[in-house]
Amino acid sequence: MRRPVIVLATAVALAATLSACGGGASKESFLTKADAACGPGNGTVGAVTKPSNLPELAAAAGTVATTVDSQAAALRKLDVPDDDKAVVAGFIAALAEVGGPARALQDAAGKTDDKVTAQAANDLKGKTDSAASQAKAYGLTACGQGLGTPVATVIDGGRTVIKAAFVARAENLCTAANKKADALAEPRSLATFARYITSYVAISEKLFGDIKALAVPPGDDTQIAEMLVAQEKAIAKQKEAQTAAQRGNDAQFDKLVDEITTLVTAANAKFDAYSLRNCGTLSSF
Amino acid sequence: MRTRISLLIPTVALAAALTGCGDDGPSKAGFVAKADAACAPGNDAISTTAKPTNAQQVATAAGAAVTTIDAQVGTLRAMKAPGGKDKTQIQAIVNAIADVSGPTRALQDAAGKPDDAAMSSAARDMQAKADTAAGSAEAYGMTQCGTLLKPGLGNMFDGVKNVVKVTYVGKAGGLCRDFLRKVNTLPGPGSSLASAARALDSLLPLQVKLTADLRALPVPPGDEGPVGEYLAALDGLNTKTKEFTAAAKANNPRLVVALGDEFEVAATAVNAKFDAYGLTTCGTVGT
Repeated sequence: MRRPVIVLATAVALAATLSACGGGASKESFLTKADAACGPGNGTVGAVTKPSNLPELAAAAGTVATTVDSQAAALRKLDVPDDDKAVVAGFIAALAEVGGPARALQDAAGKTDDKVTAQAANDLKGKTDSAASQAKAYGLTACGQGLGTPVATVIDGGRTVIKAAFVARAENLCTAANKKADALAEPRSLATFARYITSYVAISEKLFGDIKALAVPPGDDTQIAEMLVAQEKAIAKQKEAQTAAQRGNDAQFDKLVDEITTLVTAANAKFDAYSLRNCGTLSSF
Repeated sequence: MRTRISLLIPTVALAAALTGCGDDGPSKAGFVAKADAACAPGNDAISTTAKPTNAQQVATAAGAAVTTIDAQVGTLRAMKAPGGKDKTQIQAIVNAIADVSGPTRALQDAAGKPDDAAMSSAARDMQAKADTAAGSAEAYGMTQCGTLLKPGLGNMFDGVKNVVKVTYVGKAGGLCRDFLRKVNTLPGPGSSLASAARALDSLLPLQVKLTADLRALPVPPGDEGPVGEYLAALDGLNTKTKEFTAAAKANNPRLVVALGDEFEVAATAVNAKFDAYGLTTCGTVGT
């Protein structure tokens, strides 16, 4: 009877050692099962091609929403390591949160609402990045991380679609404003310049205020903001020239004209670079 | 005697435990602490040196940095290092720090002449070597040796950039003024496509020469990006000028109008990039 007692004692000790590290599935087993569960969904969103119009964008966003919903549901059914329950629950919640902006993007694109579409696309990127980083931190390779590239493709499609609308609207606004500015009587003296610049700046400020109100393509926020800031600097300098002209200060006026040329060139280069040539080099502003 | 023996046994055991792994020199932590303490005064000296504002100051600052780096390397080589894998790693770090000395000495020599092209090249090499030294030292856990050499030399690198840029902007401005003087002597484009083509035929070689002359100037270290961008924009303008000339020679007014718009856009890009780099004579002020 001595041997069975030893075997039993060893087995008990081994079990105690194993359970000392926490119960439930092992982390390795969970990661394998979770990544396997996420694989088919990733395949579905990965097959989505870059949308080239708003209906395609709506459909693509709908696919992302249903995919993350089903991935989150599948993950919730898995046996999670006891010690990692909070971390895993946090990741699953982050993954499920991708569904909200994806659905909002689907709705907005379906309604052809560029502004809400752009906002939803930005939100979708933020939630996807968050889910991906949490998944990576825990060691998942397919779940969360697998969404990154397909969602980026969807958002890039959205950016292209919204940019086309942005460029068309802005170019129309600039063409109309160019006509108004070109119709102003050419200034021939400092005194007439002061009057000219008053009307010119009013047209300019209205134009760039209207452009600022357009829906900004997701991901292009910085580029457009830089463009508009450059234009605001030129307008501010034009107002200084207006004051110099009103005071009859020739020297100050000439100096300001050089500065205006530099600022306008910088702004024009930024508009040109964003395919807005009628607001840039080919504009009157 | 029993008590004495029992006291002796733990002492012997403790000594055996301490030397059980052989005499491998100091611990890694001990070496890192001593090495960092030895490097700190030199790093302070380099980092508190005022940013040089002319070539002579660059030469002086670089010479002082060489002396400091060589002294740090000498001290580190004289220190007893941990054995095994650590020894190899430490040798590599010390060699990487020693490698910074060569280009810094080259910078001293170039600044003493002064030779802008050699100064730029030496400054770039110095920064690259300092990056390598910092990378290996950081990876080993050093916080002073190698690691803080990089920001200290960064101050000098900035100084070199500013010094070379002053000369660069002066020389580029001179080239652009010369270009504009020559352009102003060219006949106007006239009122026909044929006369416009002749005017452009005269303009293009001047533009191409200006581009080549600007490209030949020593680029301030760290400004390779903006200088490369404006030169690429100039190349684009030259290409557009060629297309425009060809359209004018082919008597294709529709294409000339379309290319005229593109030419203007390309010129805006060039001017904006010149202005942004402080070359307003080549940019909007010149035009």
